[in-house]
Amino acid sequence: MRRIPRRGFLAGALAGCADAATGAMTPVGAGYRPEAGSDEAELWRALDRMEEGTRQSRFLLREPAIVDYVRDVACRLAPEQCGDLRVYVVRTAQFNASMAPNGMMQVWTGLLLRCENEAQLATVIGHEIGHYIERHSLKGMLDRRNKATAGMILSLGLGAAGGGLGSELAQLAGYASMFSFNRDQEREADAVGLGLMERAGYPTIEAAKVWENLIAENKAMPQRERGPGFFATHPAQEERAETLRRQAAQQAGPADARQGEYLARLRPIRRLLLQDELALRQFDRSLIVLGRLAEALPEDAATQHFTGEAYRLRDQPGDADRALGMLGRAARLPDALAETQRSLGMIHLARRDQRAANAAFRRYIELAPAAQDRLLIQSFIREGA
Amino acid sequence: MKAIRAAILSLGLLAGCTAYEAIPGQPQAIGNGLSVVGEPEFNRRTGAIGRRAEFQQWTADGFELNALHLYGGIGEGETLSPVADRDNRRELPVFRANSNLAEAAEFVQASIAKLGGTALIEARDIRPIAFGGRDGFRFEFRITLKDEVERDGIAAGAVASGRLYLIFYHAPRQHYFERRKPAVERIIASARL
Amino acid sequence: MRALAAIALVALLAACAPGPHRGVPVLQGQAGVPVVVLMPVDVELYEITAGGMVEPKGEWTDRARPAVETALARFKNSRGIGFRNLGGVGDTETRDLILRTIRLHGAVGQAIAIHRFSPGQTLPSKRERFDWSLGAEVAPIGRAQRADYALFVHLHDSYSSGGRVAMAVAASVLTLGRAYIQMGRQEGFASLVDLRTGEIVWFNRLLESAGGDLRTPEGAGRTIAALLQDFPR
Ligand SMILES: [Zn+2]
Repeated sequence: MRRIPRRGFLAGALAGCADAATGAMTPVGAGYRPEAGSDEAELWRALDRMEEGTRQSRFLLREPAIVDYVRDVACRLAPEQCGDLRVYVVRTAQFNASMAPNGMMQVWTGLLLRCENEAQLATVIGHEIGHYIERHSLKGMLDRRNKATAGMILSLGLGAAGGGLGSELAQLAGYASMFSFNRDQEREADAVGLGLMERAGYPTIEAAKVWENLIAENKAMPQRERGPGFFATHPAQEERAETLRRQAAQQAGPADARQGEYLARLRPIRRLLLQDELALRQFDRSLIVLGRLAEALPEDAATQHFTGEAYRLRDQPGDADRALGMLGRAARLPDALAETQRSLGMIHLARRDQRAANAAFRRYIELAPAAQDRLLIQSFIREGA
Repeated sequence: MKAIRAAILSLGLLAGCTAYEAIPGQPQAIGNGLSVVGEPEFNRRTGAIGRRAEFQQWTADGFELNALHLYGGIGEGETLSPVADRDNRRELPVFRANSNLAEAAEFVQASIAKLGGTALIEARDIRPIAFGGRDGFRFEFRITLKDEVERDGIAAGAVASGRLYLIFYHAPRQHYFERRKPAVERIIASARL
Repeated sequence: MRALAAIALVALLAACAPGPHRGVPVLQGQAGVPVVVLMPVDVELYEITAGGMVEPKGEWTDRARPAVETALARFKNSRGIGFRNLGGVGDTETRDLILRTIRLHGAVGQAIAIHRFSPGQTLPSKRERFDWSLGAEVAPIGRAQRADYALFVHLHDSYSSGGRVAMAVAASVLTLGRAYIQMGRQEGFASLVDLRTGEIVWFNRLLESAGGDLRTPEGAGRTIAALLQDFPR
């Protein structure tokens, strides 16, 4: 039994918790609820209040088909926990997901964009469920060094307590950082996740690919631009990718990554995801993500369009040519976006090819008569040029 | 150490450099290239913000509640943030002198989104207007920043001699946007290049 | 070190600081005794680092909310006004409105705290006038709650480390002209809003020196007492 100095409510709370459990904590089972009046229950209450804030955030993606799909994947992985978790899809173009000890799971749209198939989404969800089942965040709080972190969970909960008072999602980064687990816990979560994947019939090799893809993306970015996100809380990806690859080799039996299903389900929001991705203006990195997507969906007009846009907006030597090529291809696809014509017109205009610009802009207005910039674009059409 | 630096910086901002002055209802020069007629319900933040004299910030009720940004010229290679120009321009869109009006409007919208750190921005009614007697653009936008307050905004500008002259305004939808909108429209209409 | 910085700030802010704004001497109730509805208290304690991470500020958040609520309840009981907590909020529309208005209040309160209470930050156009408002849009809250006024309380304790300052200034181009005021200080304010017009008829902000330790009942009591001093009858 460890003695923890009882300073303040929380320290006392957690010490009490450890006393009660004599240091050993059982994994979370189905329908788990902390004992009423216990300190863990206090913690849950704070998180519930924070969840209230999340529910009310303008940054939530509310498309039921998408939220249901993410929940279905979680339930397929962990049917036992299905009834205990609540899924929130947050419109933030970074790669991240988290699961709080009370069952609140957040998945950021940047993660959805980056997964190549359902198995990769299952990798991250399975990993987070691993932290949840093993109660890592609670264990971490028992650690005296993390006591302050536990205090923060409460404070975040308090912040949301007033009924969603504004800044909850602004604090998501911090919320993620409060679950900074140690290496052993990360390994444990990976192992649990891998087990869940295998049981659900996903190829576990996809777990390694998730990290390998992120490593590739990260390498494309200048050091200083690698902002907060999953990497801040999940270091040492290279070692982890290797370990996962080794472990995956042992998988027996048939498995399906469900790529077709995944890409079809994401289709309704792909444009939105790509638009948000480009708004980050990390074009080098976005081009890697887009390249992967184009491999899977060579005929997808949105992917081609935004690849062209990434070049057009990055505007480095040679980019205009690349943009023209991509956009030209995008324009010929059956479900071409009207905006592709707009972008083409812009490049033609910059090259003083007024006639080609006129044609593209006319086509744009024909395809999108209600476009918000119709009047401005119309003003670029000049006859007699 | 950090704390002291923070305190010094904040003291500088609070006491020394930043204050507010009245704006008489007469032509106000924004740098050398732009002038607008002042509106007494607005106040001007004085003191250097970054190093660009041709950048002004006006507010009627406080910057959280209505903010008017006036640029008397953004040149080739510059960004919307004078501070970013100095030490932190990463990922902020950079203005190109050869931009057409659509590209300029695109630059402004992308910059606002990036500065606001939000994916929740939508531009509406992007149209050509006469701005300061030149061919210009104008659009409205709706943006949610991290404080989750929904704001509406207006941006208007023109490109002349390779420089972007720009005014943009934003305020919470509830009460504040409409409250100062008539004055903002007058300011935009009064612009002279 | 940090304490030193804080003291410097307090000294600066305390100099020539005006008292609370009191737009009406006596509250007016539609049906006799004026009814004030207490909006959910906005309490938050955190630290922001240069990386934008929210980090814990020690172990001092645990008791803040209950302590503040107890202190408010004591204050309520000492007044002859019909105070009540926010009741069941019927339709989604009113719920959204309340949420929107609490968020807006955070922005409005910050603006007032700076432009009325911080030396050198006065807005010339408002020298003779206090006309901040949450908008006539709030009227449905009054009808739904059968209240004349709403009291909004906002208590944020935050500290930003140095690196964040540069970022805050960069962000200032957009809105948050004054993200810097969040540095190393307790940000607390309260507004009494006339639910018929949306006007803020009474406002006060917390002087750092007056605020207590929110974790303790005594500290929270002192904070609430300081915040609600000169509250209209
Ligand atoms: Zn993890």
